[in-house]
Amino acid sequence: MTRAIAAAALYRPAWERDGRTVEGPDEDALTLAVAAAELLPPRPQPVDELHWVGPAPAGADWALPEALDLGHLTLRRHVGEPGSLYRALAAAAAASGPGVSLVIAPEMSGVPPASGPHGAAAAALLLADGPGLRPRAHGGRRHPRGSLPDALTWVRALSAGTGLAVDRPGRLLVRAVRPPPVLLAAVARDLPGVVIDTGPDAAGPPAAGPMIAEALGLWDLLALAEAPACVALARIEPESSVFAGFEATGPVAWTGAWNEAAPPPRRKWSPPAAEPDLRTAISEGAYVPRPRYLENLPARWRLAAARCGACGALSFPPRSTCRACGSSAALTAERLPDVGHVESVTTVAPGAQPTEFDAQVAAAGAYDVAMVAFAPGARLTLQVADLPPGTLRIGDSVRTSLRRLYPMDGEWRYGRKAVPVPGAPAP
Amino acid sequence: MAGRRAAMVGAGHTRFGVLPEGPRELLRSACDAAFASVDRGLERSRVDEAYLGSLGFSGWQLGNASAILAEEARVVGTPVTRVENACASAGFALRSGVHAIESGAADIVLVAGLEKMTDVASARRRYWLGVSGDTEWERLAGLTFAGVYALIAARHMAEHGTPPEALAEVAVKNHEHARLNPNAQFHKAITRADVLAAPRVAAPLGLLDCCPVSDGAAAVLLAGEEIARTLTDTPVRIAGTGAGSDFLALQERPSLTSLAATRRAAAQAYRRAGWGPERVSFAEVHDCFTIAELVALEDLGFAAPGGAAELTTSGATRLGGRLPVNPDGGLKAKGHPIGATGASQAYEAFQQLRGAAGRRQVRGAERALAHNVGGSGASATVTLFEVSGP
Repeated sequence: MTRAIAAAALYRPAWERDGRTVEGPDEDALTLAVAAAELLPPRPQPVDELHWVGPAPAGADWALPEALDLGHLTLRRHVGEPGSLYRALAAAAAASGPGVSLVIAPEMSGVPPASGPHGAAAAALLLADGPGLRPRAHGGRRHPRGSLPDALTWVRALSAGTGLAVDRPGRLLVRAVRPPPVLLAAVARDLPGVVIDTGPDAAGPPAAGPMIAEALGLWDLLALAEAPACVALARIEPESSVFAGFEATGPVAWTGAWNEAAPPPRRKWSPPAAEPDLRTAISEGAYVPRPRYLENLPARWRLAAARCGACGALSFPPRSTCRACGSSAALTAERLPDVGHVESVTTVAPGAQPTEFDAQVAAAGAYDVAMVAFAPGARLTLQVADLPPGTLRIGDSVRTSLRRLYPMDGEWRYGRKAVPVPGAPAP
Repeated sequence: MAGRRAAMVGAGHTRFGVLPEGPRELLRSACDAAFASVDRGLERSRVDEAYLGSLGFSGWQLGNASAILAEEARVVGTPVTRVENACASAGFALRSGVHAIESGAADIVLVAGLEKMTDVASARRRYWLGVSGDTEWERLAGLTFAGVYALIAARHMAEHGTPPEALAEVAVKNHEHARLNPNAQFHKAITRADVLAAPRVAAPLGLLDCCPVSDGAAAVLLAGEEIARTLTDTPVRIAGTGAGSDFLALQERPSLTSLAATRRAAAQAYRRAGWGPERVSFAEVHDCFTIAELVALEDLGFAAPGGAAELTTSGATRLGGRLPVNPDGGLKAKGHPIGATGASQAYEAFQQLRGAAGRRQVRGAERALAHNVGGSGASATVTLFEVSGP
């Protein structure tokens, strides 16, 4: 193994239903994955591996690399549970070469539907050569139906499998959901000093589904790994147990919603009784042929503008000539700044939306559309996501987030919407 | 500028509104009325060229709609060209007709505008109402035209302090004017409070800031000026035409509060006519939304940037004021059958400059301006009319 987790980010949608976090009306696993990846700090080296953990929607194999400007990479997918996140981390850590690995685990609120309440979130982890949290071992199994998990066996297996000294105080974290008393007693007897955590994530409704729970478990490790040392994690649930061992050799940059002391207020929406039928949802819409959609992806998904080599002006969206001087030579792609400012904004009332947004309006109501300036010569008309309508003001700063836009020709089409800048005062 | 001039010798207009008539009947009525209005009569066989302005709303006859005009105007055999520049379709059709005459290629030209909008199912109508905006960057960001003009309005308010009351006054005035126009869609007076309290469509624009969906047709007959004098004693001369284009999407234009296409069209038309905004007796401007009239007044040179609100609230743009604007009720209250509007504006100039506008007559009207905008300003025409002197 040559790579360790150097940075990690957790994205949580701004929407809730029945007290838990859910994806917004224009979010799905792809947009969650992109949102998490974009929370990571700048990558020290080029990404040469891209891993997706969990079920992926149709098209994710090409769409995620394209959205992250990693179109030359093949998406490696890790499906199956429990422990698929740890398997992905082990695979990513085993990579060699000068690059870095990205592991992204998005999870929709409805997955899996049968195992109780879950929230929507996505974790993104960056693995690089150097100090960090180094995967050492992993494993897991599903308990036979109806049987009590032999948790203590798993805790011991974790110790054996990782070679980590789990009997040292504070070096092993056991997360248990509804822990059987026998487990608590056995651990206390045989492994003095081991932390049994039945904290908020473990005791109450999980903040997220299995994959994200694993990612959240990683965050707990951070508390144990303040000094370089070996640490390990076990997670025991009524249906399955997973374990993973890590060696902490340096700090990890944690960003996003890992531990929101005061999470921002969440908005509510109601999903339609059924997803729109993508084959028929286009009948009253404007038509964008697929090749036209695809050729604009660099601009629409990654805000790629064109810088003119002749006059220096920026053109957006890029076309074959410079908007300012007409030159068609020496146009080079340049990504717009992440943050722009609102030059104008309107609230589109229900009924005034183009037909493409009928389903969204039915689910979530009115929305704002803003004219946002990112640089001289580069404005975008952007629908506003996540904020209550009517709250954005001229002069506010916004950034962008990839979202579902409209269904056409049997697929969802995606583009960027304006979202609030994290940390900025609520408008 | 020397050269041959074109003049209007006849004009016809249907009612505007939610009408039982279909597109063929509307065209036939407008054309029949135009021919009937020529004082000394005009044989249809003398028409050398015809132009039809139409968006093709609903797609009922999207391709080759020119043949419908040939049939209903009973000029089959005459070359007919359909012109499509969204809401400015007939403005550009008129301009093409003027050019045909000024160039000497034609002596008599029929220009008609048509739209049939209210017989379309609701979802399909909303589709068609958005087809002339930038599809990928505006429509699919969630904007129809109300939303695009709302962005213009919000920015105009922020830059110039334009008060909501000034927008409301545009609607109040144009509704007042429309009460005097038997062809208008609305004959109901409204108050500023009504406008301000109406449900928002795309804030800051509300329902009463928006023009309606309308059916209707209008037609004018043009002739070389020397021929026009043989057909009527009171032709209305086309003093100048101008037109301009701009980026399709608002986001690509340098200014959010001014339409460069209008400014270019106006400069060209004033230059061609040899006179400017200070000599205009009344103006027909493209008020698809109330903010559009304010922006137009500034772009056409009637007010400085930011000055249209004051001009409007002062009452100067009402009938009887210094510069009556939209004496026929404008798009806002007369109605806006998309492809017909440019021809309807020319019809109003024809009536007013011949002193035949009835209760809405602008006293002493000698020069008129018509301003027709496509979409949010990707295209625009300005046409100047004057009483044809000896």
